[in-house]
Amino acid sequence: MTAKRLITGGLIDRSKKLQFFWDNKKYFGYQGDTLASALLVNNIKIIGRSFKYHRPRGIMSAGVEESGALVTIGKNEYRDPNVRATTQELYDGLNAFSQNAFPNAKFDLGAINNLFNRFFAAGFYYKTFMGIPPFEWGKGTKIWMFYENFIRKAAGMGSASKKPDPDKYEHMNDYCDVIIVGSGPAGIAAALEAASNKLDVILVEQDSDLGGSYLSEDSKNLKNKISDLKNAGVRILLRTTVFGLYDSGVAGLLERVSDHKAVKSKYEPRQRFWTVRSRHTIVATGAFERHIAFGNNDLPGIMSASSVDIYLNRFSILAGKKIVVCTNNDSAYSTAIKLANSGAEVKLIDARSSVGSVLTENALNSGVFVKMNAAPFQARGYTEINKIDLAESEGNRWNNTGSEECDLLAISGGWSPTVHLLSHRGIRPKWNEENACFVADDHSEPITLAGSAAGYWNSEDCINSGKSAGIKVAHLFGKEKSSYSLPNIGGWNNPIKPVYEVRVSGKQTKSFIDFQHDVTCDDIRLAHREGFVSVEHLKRYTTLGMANDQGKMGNVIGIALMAEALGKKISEVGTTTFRPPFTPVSLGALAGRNTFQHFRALRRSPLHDWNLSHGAVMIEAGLWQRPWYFPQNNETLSDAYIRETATTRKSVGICDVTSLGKIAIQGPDSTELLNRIYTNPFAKLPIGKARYGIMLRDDGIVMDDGTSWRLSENEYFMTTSTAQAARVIAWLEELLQIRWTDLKVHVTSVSEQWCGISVAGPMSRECISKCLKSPEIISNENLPFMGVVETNLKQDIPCRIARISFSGEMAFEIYVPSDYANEMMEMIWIETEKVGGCLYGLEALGALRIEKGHVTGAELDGRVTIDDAGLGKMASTKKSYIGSAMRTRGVLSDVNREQLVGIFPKNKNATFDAGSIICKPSELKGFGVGRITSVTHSPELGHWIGLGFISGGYNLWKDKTVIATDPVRNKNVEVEIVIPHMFDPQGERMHG
Amino acid sequence: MVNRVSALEGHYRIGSFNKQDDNSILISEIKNLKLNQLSVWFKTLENTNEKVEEFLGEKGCPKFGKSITVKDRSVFRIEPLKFWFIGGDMPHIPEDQGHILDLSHSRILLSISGKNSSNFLKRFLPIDLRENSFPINSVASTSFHHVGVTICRYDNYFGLLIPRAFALSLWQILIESAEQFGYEIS
Repeated sequence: MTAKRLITGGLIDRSKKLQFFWDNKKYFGYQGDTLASALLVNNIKIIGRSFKYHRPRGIMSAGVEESGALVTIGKNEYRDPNVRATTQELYDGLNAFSQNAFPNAKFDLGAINNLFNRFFAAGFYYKTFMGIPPFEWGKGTKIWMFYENFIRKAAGMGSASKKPDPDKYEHMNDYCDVIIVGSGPAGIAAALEAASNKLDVILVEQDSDLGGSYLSEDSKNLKNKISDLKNAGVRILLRTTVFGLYDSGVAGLLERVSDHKAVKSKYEPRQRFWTVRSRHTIVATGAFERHIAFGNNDLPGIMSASSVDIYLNRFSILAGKKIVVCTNNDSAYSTAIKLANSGAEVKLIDARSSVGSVLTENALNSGVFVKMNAAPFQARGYTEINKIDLAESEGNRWNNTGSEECDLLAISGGWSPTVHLLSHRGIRPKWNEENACFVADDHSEPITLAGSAAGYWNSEDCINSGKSAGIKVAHLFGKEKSSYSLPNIGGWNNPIKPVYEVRVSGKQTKSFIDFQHDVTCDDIRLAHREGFVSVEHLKRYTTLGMANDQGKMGNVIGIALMAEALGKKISEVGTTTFRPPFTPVSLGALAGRNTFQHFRALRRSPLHDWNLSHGAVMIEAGLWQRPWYFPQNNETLSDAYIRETATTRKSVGICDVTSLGKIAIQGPDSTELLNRIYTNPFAKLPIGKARYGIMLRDDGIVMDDGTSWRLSENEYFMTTSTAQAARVIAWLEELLQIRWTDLKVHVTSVSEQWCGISVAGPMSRECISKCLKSPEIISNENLPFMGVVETNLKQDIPCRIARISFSGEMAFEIYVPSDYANEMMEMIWIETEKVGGCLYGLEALGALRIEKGHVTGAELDGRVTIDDAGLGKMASTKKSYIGSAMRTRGVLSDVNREQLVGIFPKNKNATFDAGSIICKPSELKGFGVGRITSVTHSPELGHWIGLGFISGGYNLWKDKTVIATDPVRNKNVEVEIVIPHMFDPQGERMHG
Repeated sequence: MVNRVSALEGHYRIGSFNKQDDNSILISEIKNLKLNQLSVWFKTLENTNEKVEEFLGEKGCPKFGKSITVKDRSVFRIEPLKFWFIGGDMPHIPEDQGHILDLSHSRILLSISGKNSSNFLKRFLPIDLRENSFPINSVASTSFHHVGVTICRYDNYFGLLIPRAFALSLWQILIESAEQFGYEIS
């Protein structure tokens, strides 16, 4: 192949010369070139090596279907493998590298694979899983575990950088009336028609320029059309691929914002992932030209005829001197004529026995040699083509009929409309015999195909179909009254002759169908022999169509060969389903800005920074971060929480409890609502009092626990656990909107409005009172246990205070509006420090509540009833409430159910883990008789303790020894069962 | 009375960055937000008109998904029976007609303006912000990075209400995205 740049013509900018590097060597191209066109004109023939056999591969096409020229762009952390050179725009300083070759693509040691190719046929890898005979026939994988390492290293194409991606990406949302995919003749016509009817149109083009096939033809006309589009207000997205169509008119798009830029802005994203929602989609994505399977059809120097045309007309490159064009349809004739007019020696080989004289005369008049009834049979050459052996057709047979020397072979085996996007919506295409291609079947999706995507081959029909699509959509939206009609699909003057493979009897050749996965015609026949005859199995067994190109080049040939093997028609074999993405989408684009600290939104308490500045080590609680512990002087976690727990019990401790759910319940039926959702009575809760309550699910299982404070006749302040906050408010809304629509109640989340702290310990009242405007308001008389008051701290900070204890100490929860949080905390902390108090985190909070036997989400895990949790007395027998009926059903009332207990180690120096299973000593197996849910060191008791559940409860197991077994950590510990309220069981301290 | 401390305290840096004249995004926080929710009942809905008029000084009651703004006060109708009064003190409402709930500390309010403001917000909000679909005085609940937010189109800017606990996280994403346009924080 000897390519050269013509002196004039094309759409490149000859005034802008660009330097680029290929395998670290410097070359030149022009603005407007792709990497492929630049490599082509620099006569770089071997771009990479094939996947399995490491055969030399060159440029095969000019578009997204490229299967040979897969390269790596960039270095180090910017390295981007498996980029199609045909779609990579050239820019100054671009670095590109060949792949899958060592030491380089021209001379690759991996080519030795090709010598053993008979052992690497389709399915070879699966067969090695059965063991290598005679060593481990049918039963072993030991040897496989050894060589699998080598196979993995040899597999794959490019390799990605292991460094973090340094580029930014972002997401985008948009809406329109019509999204049009593809800006060729049909797409532009559709856009202009739709826009003229005042529809909001987005026109999406994956190339760097609008125009599609106009780019290799009529550029003057194109300029006018682009101007018309802009004047019509059509929104245009260039360098953007619609990679998938989804439900409800949603399209996924990938915009390449800066992949073509030599100098990238620090702030601009590299790529943008769009979600566009439209009322209708027009797919004008054109068609892919197919190749033909023949011997060595993967040699560098063999390309699709249309791509040779594109390189000539768009990039002004004559890709060869002695060119053979092989075809089975009309489209390649114009290519042959243009090549001859540009100075190449051109021979056109047509598989058909005859065509209309106009076609051949035009070719002959341009100096093209025409030979009918022949097709390519075997390409000759080692690293590039230098000759093509031909065969002529005799009925169903092909016979060798001489050869032609060439440095470039252009193949046109037919055209496949790009129906992929419609297939994403579950519409399987149907086979059209006359045009030898799959076309869209009837469907009810809001999608219209136009142009070659719909099966039109000539420009005029394409434009008319695009216009008709625009009118049709305008009709659908009630905008247009004029009629439209669609031409018949097809449009060639002479029928196509289906040719998928050329084989000469007695001649062994290696004919490729899927170039990326090295799938050959023999692989298809092998699959058939081995029983993988369904098109779905064919695909998976041979990996046909499973690579980067997703079968754009080879699927139809594979299906045709399987049909032949089965003795069926292609229409009976069908296709597999095309799924998104149409072309690869980077994971970075899908992630957008949702990476690192933005992977999930961080939910911060108003005291977040204050806690950190006071030494908090944080822990995640859902989207919140909460203080875990406050280490002092290099304390470990254990040291810290034990100190915090002890200090709180001895003096006072402050804990940020802002993450608890908080719900405002307002309305004359508020009390009735609470009475229906809590198990215990709320009907007579006085104003100024709080009550602990348990909510059940409809099936009688505990959903959540919390407190509700009565602020006035018709207003309550409900608190929930952190984990169930969202669930509870959604639940309340569901109840009010669906079941109890007669209740006059409004519920509103006020979790963000209020910052809350718990102040616990014998000195808690003293500390808080020093911060109040009216200190006496929280005296024991004025604010007894479970009392609630709204008052002001000093500096007129409004607050709500409830005397509630989770820790078992005398304790208060103080809530202030969030913007006053820091001020409040400073005030209380000063007083706390004075009495030797401390800040405490979740770990100490856990120790405190475990000592008291108070349950949390660790115990209320969705399997536990109110009786299991030892709170059965809270279940009213005098009213109905959610779950009241179902909680008494047989399985939930069984006396042998696992019930809440405390757990001590027999040896007081031992520890055991949460998650351990409790077993009888003689039966360390299965599910045991119980489970441990929470553990801690108890400063009060001086040893390890736990909470858990055991079948039959405390009474059945008291004074008995059982084993806490942890089979994962291989740990068995003797334990005894005690009542869950392990410290101050009478609750004297919190009532103090 | 102590000053309120915004959720963006320490991170709200006034000034301009990579400003590109026409293209820049202008962002500002409306500090010391006053936001009160009024919840009413179907039977008392009519009385709401008077309260809105009293608050705004003008007749009218917004339809669901709409707002009315007069000077620095707005009333959003965020649910069929829930209204948000922004920017001033609430008029008194008897309890049998509705309930008031102070949400002034529950959110921050950002004003986002500039020629590219709609283009900018499309990067986060999955709703149709085209002028025909979301004209002036439109209000919508939507999501930003999986967090529920409320957006309103005013005369020449957008108001974005973000839950306080998520404010800093979403602010950081906003600012990072605004870099490509250039922005000014006032």
